[in-house]
Amino acid sequence: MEKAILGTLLNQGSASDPLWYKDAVIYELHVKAFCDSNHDGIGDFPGLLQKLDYLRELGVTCLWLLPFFPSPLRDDGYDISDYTKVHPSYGTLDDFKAFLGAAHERGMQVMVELVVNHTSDQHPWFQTAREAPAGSPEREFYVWSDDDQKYRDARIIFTDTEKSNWSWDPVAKAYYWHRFFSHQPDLNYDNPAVLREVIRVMRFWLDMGVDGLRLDAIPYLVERDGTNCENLPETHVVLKQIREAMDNGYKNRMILAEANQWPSDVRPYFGDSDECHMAFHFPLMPRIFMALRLEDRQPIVEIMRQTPEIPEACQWGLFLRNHDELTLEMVNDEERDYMYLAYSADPRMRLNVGIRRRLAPLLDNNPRRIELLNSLLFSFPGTPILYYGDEIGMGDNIHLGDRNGVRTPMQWNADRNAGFSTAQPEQLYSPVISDPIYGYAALNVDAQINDSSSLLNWTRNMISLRKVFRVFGRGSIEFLEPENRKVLAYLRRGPEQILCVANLSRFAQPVELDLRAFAGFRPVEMMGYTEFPVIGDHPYTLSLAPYGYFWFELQPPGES
Amino acid sequence: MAQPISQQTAIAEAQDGALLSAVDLIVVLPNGGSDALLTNIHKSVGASAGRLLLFHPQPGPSAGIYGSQFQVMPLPEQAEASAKLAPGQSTQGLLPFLFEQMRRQAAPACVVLSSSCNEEIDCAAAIRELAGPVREENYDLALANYAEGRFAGLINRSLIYPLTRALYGLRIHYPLAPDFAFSSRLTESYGGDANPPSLTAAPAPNLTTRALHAGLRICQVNTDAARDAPKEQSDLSTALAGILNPLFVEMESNAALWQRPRGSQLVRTFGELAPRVDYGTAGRAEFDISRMVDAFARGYRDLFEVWAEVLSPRTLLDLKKLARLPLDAFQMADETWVRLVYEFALGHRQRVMNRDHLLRSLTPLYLAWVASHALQAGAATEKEVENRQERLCLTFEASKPYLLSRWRWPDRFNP
Repeated sequence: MEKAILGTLLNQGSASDPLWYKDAVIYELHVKAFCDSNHDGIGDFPGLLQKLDYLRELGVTCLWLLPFFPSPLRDDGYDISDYTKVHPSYGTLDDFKAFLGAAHERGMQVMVELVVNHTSDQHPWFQTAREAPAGSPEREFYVWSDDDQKYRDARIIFTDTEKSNWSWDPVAKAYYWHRFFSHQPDLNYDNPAVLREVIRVMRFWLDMGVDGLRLDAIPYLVERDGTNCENLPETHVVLKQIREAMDNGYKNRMILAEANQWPSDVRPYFGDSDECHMAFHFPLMPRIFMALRLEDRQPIVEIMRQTPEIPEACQWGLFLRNHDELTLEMVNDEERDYMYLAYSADPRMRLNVGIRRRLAPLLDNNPRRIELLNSLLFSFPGTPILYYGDEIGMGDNIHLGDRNGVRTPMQWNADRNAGFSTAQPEQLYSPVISDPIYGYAALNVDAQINDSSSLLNWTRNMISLRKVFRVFGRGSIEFLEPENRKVLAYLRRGPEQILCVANLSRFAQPVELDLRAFAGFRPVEMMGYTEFPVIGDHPYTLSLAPYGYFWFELQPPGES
Repeated sequence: MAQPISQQTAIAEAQDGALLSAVDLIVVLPNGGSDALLTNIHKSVGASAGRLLLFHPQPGPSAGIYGSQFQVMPLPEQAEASAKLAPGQSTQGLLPFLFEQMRRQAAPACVVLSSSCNEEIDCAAAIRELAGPVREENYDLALANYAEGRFAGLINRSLIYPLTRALYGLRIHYPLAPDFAFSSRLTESYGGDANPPSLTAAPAPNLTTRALHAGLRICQVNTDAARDAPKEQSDLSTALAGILNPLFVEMESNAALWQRPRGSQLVRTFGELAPRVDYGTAGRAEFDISRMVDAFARGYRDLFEVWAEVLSPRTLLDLKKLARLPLDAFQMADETWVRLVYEFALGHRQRVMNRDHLLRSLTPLYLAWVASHALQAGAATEKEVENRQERLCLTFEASKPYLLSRWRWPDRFNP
């Protein structure tokens, strides 16, 4: 009873279902890249607000905004210098509130970044810390050392730019710890004041009505000598406290963990439903690309076999591409070599331990390959996350530094600057893609809206179809083992019974499926609502076109 | 009967929840009723219902409390105004008020009787019968079922009933019945909704689909109440758009709910249906079939380009053939009607044009169906008309895969 009363006092999010994130389709975007409303060449919140109807029509239900806070922008906003304001290039806090309200009006949830591992070196906390006496609470907001020998077992993540996880600060006259760029000092969670401040920041955004928080780089929160400083028990203590603060004040909110780790190492981040609601499934993504290139389902099946069960209220976040490189940290050396050879012929496509390319270029702009991989994304157990622009097959620009090549302006139409901005082209934060294949003149939203065979309309249809069947977000998965390894076949079981079959090969393939457990059921192809022959006691034979895929609803006898 | 307290006092006290704090039944009469009716309700309903709170648009001197068991309150103007909207929308407009009262009064059941009450109709009995399944049989929504003649309620007969039956798989003859009863469970099913129905949010989810969505129990109640004369006579285009827009919007928001059911099932129906009033030749005189066919011909001439935006080549060809038929052979096939209704639903979903404009353009096509119906039903027996209706419903059900395939995979390249 007390719980019930407490429940009514909690700050309610915009979603009515506490498990909304399990059925969500998340769309990741950068405010700066989406739409510029004030003609300064940089996208902003009023511009994003203008495009909400497009996103609603696309069918996505949750918008994940990359960092939009004040920042020196040396790591595209992940170097935050003020957690509770909006970067002036993107608008004001009132602009954000207007956007948030408009998204909620359209039934969309909003997720923002909570970068808890580090700040910018320009953050007042760091500026105060370096001036403060050693050992003082202010100084202890960050991790300091007199030498650079501690935590030597911790790997370097940004191998292309950093030589050490320690950097010398001449003001503090000490080394400070950073797992990423040297201008991003790590916060010190051994100081309780740090967690108090982080929770205060979290409450600031949740009070405003934000529905979800993506916790950036969480495996690295705590450091201990003699360990690799990743996934430490102390880190989980911190996360439990963050979750507790959320649950004690708010309803129907969500935390998404960014933990680029093996599935068994990610599992603890769900806790007993008392840490993160969601976590990315990093190792799956490169294996999907590998399976496609090898024309062999084994990499996918194997990593899914290694994926542990997670609590009922938790969910995997699935993606094909995102704002970072296609990370190859979670593959072995041989697999990594293969991926480099298969997907990054030009060395400029490589960055750190990954490949900095968008989805369409990775797949040689082959529509059937793009659709096939998206069909896996939409039908695997988890919540699909789309990266902005991939719904129209946008290209990238490998001549831009760092990961900026996959962060170019959204291509809305064939007008100047792709309809993204009316500023002079030189003013844009990034050049638009203008090559003959992926250039905005031919590849843009307007053109694809009017083309019923476009990737955009295909994506809309698939999202819409996925939303009809709750099993995709909530059901279990069971792989079939047909002899032909070029075919990936799996059952999604839950409120509905779905059979998915995908041909990973560039040639037509036959497959015989053991569906005896469903004898008497009738497969109904879900896109065209076409009834297929009833399943009998013999292997069920299908023929698949090159890169073809089927989604079947298995209708029990008597229902057809 | 005790003298009622003053109206102002009654309103103030009821708003404070001070009067009849544990109400057993709320009754709403959006279109009012005479003092005699209130007395009748008090006697015949109140006696069995326990404490009863009745809302009436203009209770006049009747407002107040009649003893400890019966209270009459004025219906707020806003709710009264919303009750006068187009068919289907009227109920939606009332919902916020009804839900507020259900919660405030902690009432387990509520009856809304919108049909006009006169001497011939025992409205008190209709209220009692509608409330019965909710109060005694644990149903959550009881919708009235009417004994309408062959020429009455044609929007319901041709569109609302067969469409909702095919979509949701239940044979509810009047899914938007203006007379209904519902339980507090149905009210509570809206409880966790971040966007409860409001007078400004249009269209609010209708009670029938909400009950289905929440897995609640629905029944029908045969009633003598007579639905008001269809407003379609005065402005058919507005009525069609007003009814279809919420239905089609709900198809979009409830896609997961309606895409699963196949075929349809009977729902439990309480009470006996009175004999239909116009069997024989009565009613047909009101239909000027030639004017309807002319309206279709004009529509075919003037609206063809609009229709071509949403209708498939096969449907357009059917219409072309229909436009050439002489009056005595004029007949729109059920398959054509069903396909074009589904195609309008698809066009509405895809926003191929202004939705109101689109829905209004259905009017000449609807008149073509009505003309066909009148030509067929005029000389038919009651049983033949029933069979005709059932055939239409089955055609809607049989064609549902067509709707599904095009809904799931929209494409301009259609048969």
